[in-house]
Amino acid sequence: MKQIIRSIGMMGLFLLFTSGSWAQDAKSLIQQMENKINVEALDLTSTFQLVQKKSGEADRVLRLKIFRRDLAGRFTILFQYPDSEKGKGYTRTGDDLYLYLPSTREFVYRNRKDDVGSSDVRTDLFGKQDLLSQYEPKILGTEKISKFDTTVLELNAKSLDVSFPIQKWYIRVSDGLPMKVENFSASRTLLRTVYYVDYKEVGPGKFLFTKLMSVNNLEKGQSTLLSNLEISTSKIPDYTFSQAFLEEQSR
Amino acid sequence: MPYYLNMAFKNVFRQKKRSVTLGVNYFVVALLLLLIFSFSEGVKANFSGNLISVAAGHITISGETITKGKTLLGIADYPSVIQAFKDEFGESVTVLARYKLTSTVYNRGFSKSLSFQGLDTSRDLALKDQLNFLTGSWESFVQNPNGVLISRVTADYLELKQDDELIISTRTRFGAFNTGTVKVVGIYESANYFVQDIVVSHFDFLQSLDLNDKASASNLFVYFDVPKSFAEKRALILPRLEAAGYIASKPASDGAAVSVVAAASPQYKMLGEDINEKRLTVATVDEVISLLSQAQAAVNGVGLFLASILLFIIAISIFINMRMTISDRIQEIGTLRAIGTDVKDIILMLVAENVFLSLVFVIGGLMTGLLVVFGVSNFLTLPPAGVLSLFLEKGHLVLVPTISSLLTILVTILTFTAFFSFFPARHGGKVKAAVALGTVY
Repeated sequence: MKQIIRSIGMMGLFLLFTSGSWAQDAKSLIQQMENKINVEALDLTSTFQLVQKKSGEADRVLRLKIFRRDLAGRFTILFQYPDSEKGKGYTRTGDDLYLYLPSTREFVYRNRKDDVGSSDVRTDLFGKQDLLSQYEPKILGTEKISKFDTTVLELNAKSLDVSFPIQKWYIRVSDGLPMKVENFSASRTLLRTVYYVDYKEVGPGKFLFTKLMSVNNLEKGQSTLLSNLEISTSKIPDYTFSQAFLEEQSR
Repeated sequence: MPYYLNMAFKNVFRQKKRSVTLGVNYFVVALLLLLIFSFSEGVKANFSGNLISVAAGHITISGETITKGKTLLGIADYPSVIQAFKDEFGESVTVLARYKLTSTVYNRGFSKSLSFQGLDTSRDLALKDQLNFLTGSWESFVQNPNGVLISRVTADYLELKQDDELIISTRTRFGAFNTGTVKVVGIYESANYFVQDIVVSHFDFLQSLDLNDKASASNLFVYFDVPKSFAEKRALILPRLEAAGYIASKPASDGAAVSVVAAASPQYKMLGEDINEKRLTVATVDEVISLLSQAQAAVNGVGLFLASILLFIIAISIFINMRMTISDRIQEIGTLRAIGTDVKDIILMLVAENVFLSLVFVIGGLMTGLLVVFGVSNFLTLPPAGVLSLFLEKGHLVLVPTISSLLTILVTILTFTAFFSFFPARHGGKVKAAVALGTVY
């Protein structure tokens, strides 16, 4: 009897140890991934083209210029195309995101969960990632995406103050970069899938996605394709991360 | 004096063409004013009636809960608010809880953001009478916990039909997305403006879709057996709500009162982290419709402007008519003056003549107005679509002629006539007998 109890105890300890270890692995995987895609040492200026596709409708094209300074948790997004959107922009510091509307010359407070120009792409995609502050990760296993082996992580929100309470991240085994992200609702309905198609190394061990597709899983046939047109790592003036900059650009 | 009044009455139609021409003006003004006042009263009665039956109570409560500075819209621990009302007013009060949220609905490649209203079908039955079911029934809605009733417009837009199931996605009050599946158990039309574009749902279903706790609601609608003195009743309940742990107040402005009715989750804003409060805003229906009163005043203003133009024309007509009448009858006036008639009696006779004329035509105008109101209210049917439904009840324009409107119109026009007749009458009355009798017209 004592032996049975001891065996059960040992098994419990083993399970506790291994699950803790898996959780630890999951966290370190996320940290490693974020180390690659967050670029604290650099300022990044990039231009993206967004093509939103909806079934039965003509493609909608947006062009955005993005100024990013991960070290300060800041970014500024400036709409350049089409003319109807020109002058619009976002500026973010920490969790505070402001949308500038040139038509009324006012700044509207948005939280970090805003979609860019009613597309299927969220503003936080363009800034510094800090998943571990919001989510508790665990490893689900491995899966092949296209021809690549990936580690599948499930991220469960620590609080409901996030858009997607459950996410699945598919991280490429070979280089630790995300290949696919699935966003789920609280009741585990798949809402959106983001495919990271291509990356460019912008600094030693630092990567920025250059092609990405976001698929709306609720609205069939709706997706947004992001393509990077140019990247620069030149120093960005501090003024660029201010509301005054957006106002000035809209004139 | 009655003799001169009798003479005045006989003289009303002595110059038939002239009298009828002036009388038509009185007729039109009386008719126009009655229609405007009836329309204005009708909008008010219809608006508040429709509002109270489905979208607000005699008193409507909204709330927000602040926890560590984070503000979430909605009433926390609403059963304790209901209890406070029961403690104060006993069984003479009914309090109904509603849950509201906005959610996007997806079907066959179409999506639409819709306003959902969740109600407790065991107690909250006011909506039932406002719906004209094209398919399905209220009973099937009651039996199906994730059933919804949708308007014909929504059904057409999303190509939905009876028994279709569809996914809805909402950003909950905390910010996280949640999804649910609903089943269309009825498609309706409604003449009530406040029902036309809502998805009728179950309270519990929306509460759990919004990831909210069981004691939370978006609004409370309070109904009293005796529907009056709402502000006084609110003054009685506020201390009880304070005692129950709420910071309760009346709305700061008319706009804030409307927001009480329109409140829907989810939203949040950040305050200082040391703030933990349960706030309630308690609005009376009079405050909620105060914005309508402003619109009503504008409608009345336009009507009164038109009426004043007509009255101005009448004033000129009265003046010209009186001068012509006095010229016509200058020798009669001279004779009356010669046999010792006082100036004031002649003035009275001439003024009374016009007042009698206006009385006849104003009454005619009001009677015709009442007939028009009756005909339009009962026999003219309009499609209950969009803003037009604010003015309709079961497809008919709501016109409410009140006794006070009728009396106001009558007294105003008669006073106006007397006032504008007085000055030319005084001119005629003051003519000396010798001058009058010597005048040849």
